[in-house]
Amino acid sequence: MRAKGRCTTLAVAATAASLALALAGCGGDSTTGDGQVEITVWHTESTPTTVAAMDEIIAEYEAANPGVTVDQESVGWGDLQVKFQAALAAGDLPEITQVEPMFVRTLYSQDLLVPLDDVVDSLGDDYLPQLRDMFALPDGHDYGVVHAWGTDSVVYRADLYANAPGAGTPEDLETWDDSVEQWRAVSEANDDAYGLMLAGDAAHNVNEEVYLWLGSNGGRLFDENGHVTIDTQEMREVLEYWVELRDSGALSPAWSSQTYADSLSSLALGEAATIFSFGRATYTFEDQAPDLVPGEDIKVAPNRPVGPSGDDWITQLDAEPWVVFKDSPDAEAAADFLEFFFEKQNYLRWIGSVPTQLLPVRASTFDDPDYQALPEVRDWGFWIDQQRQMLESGQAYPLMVTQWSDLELPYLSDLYGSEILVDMVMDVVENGKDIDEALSDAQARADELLSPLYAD
Amino acid sequence: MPGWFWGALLLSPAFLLVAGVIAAPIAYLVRLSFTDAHAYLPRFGSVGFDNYAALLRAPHFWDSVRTTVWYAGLTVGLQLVLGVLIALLLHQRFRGRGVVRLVALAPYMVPSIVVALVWRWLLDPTTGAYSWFIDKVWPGSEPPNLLSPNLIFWSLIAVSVWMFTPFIVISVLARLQTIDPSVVEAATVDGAGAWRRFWHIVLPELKPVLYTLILLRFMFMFTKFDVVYLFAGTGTEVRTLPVLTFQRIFGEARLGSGAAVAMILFVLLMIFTTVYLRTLYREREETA
Repeated sequence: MRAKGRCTTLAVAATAASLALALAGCGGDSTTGDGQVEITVWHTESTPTTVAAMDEIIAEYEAANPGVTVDQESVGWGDLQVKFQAALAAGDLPEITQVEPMFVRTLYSQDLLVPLDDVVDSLGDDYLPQLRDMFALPDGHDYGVVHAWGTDSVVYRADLYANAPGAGTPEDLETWDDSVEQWRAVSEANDDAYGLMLAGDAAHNVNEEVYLWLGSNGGRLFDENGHVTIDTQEMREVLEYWVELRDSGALSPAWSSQTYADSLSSLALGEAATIFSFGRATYTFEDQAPDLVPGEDIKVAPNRPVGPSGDDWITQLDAEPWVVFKDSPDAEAAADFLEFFFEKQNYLRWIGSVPTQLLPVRASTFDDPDYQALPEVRDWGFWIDQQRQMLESGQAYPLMVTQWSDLELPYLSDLYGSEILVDMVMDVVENGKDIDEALSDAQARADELLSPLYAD
Repeated sequence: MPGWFWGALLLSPAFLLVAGVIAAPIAYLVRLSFTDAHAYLPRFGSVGFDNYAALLRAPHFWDSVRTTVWYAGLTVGLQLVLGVLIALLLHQRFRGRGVVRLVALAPYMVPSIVVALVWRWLLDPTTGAYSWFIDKVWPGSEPPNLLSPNLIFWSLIAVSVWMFTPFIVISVLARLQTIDPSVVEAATVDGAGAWRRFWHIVLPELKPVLYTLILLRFMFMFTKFDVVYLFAGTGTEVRTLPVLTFQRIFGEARLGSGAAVAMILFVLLMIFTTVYLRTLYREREETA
């Protein structure tokens, strides 16, 4: 009887323990039992100086707000979408995260975000209007605050171009035909360098090139009804151009296996004369080619060449916003932290960690003596100035956006993540598939993917 | 209380664990595969067999099936041939055998992420050891880009075989060490050459372990995701069914369709395993 009683106790305890174990993973809460508030921040700025800057901001915020703990998590640039999706499914979202601009509408349409009007108001008129407008949504509230921004530039090695006299420089380029001629001439004039290097290893970079070439050829990814449009004359010309770049010897044959970082190195090491890049590249150049003089050997041009069906070029605006989730137990504290983040000295720490990549969202910062005194700003000021001009020109669009109305489509990210465009480019450029067949296949796949999501 | 009650009560933790960790996720996956669930949008409607029908109609799904079969078939075949050869070599007596055995087994001990990154660096067409070597042997030549879409599949095969062959080596070597050496010696005395000794004595002894290895390795390679994704990415040339599942769920946000791919993968593997084991069983029956 005694033994049986012990068995009963053990069995009940084991059952209870397994039930407890099973249930333990079912809930998540950022507010701990003792009333402490924990704010988790996800961002994709993995540069050690940027992570250190955030650590300093957090330390000061925690000191000023006893009972609040802020944890930053630097997520790999290409991993954010996967991690974010898993967290969404598990109901374990962070309080604050960076997202691609295209995701804001998706999250907003699901009523997952809280307005950040107070944070935006704290920035006042100093907040660059082009950035504010992106996330001021139809209900009159702001659902995202850009932490920093930058634009994609044509970056080139003037010393390698000098070996091809008569070819001109990227500033001279107007049409795609000009660019093929110029980059081929630069390839021929330099034994070890190609005229152009693209980053083709990651789907992200190929998607970038597709929408930017398409936008620079008068094309669009979606029609006025929000329906995907791939099988078009403009896209056909993009693919023909890509094939011509490769076949003519203008584009390095290594392009399809190059990561973004590889493409920066290829310019620094003299294997390519031209790349498309954001400002973070300056660190690669200074590290791998310290003898090259910014502004003399390495230059930037704003203009991409324009396709036969286009009137003007477009470039990429990288302006990822912070968003705060409604599910956050203390969204108010999260918004408060963001207000603190944007205070002048804190914000200067953040953008000052990689000043050529993280351009300030506050217009006044550009004139701030502390900002202007940063060594990178002194050395690479010409690149920063050019990015400002591109933003003001209105020709810089967020990822996958060829017209501003695209940003309103909650399924834009589905096309981005699908690799349909990437498969199409690789099939044609690397595997020799017939262009019409590739266009038709891509259109059919995109229709199958997106048509169930159309509003009509 | 009756005895069955205590038995059931004591079994319940294990039952709950199996139900929670294995049965429930599979049941949820099956349920998901019959819906149009989306990762972000509020969709969870029942669509019957639409996901399966759409997949079976899609050419790129069949491309993935072909890629998976080729990948698993080629890597398992090469692993077996090389694994048996290496195991036979390592079974011989020679100085430094211990060190050589350790080195031969090393690739299996290296984490997938390290294997993928190191091989990508080695094969980089501009800065890798491979391009450096080609340049030294044939100065001025343009080496083919082994990481380009039209060659990456073959590079993946090579890397996978390099990484997983040691598993075969370990298993075959262990079996070789249990073969009675007097049988081999007797055959040698009777004038049997190396090939005949291998074909008529060693290989029949190895058969049971090789059958098991074929089954295990095929299952592992058919469902392999990590090294494929990390080394070769998600391009069409290497988009095996596990990669397609990942792509559907995390790239396209189509949870229902991704679950359907996973279910098809599961069913294909079940069919292969059943047919394989039945064939094996029949052969053994006939031999007996």
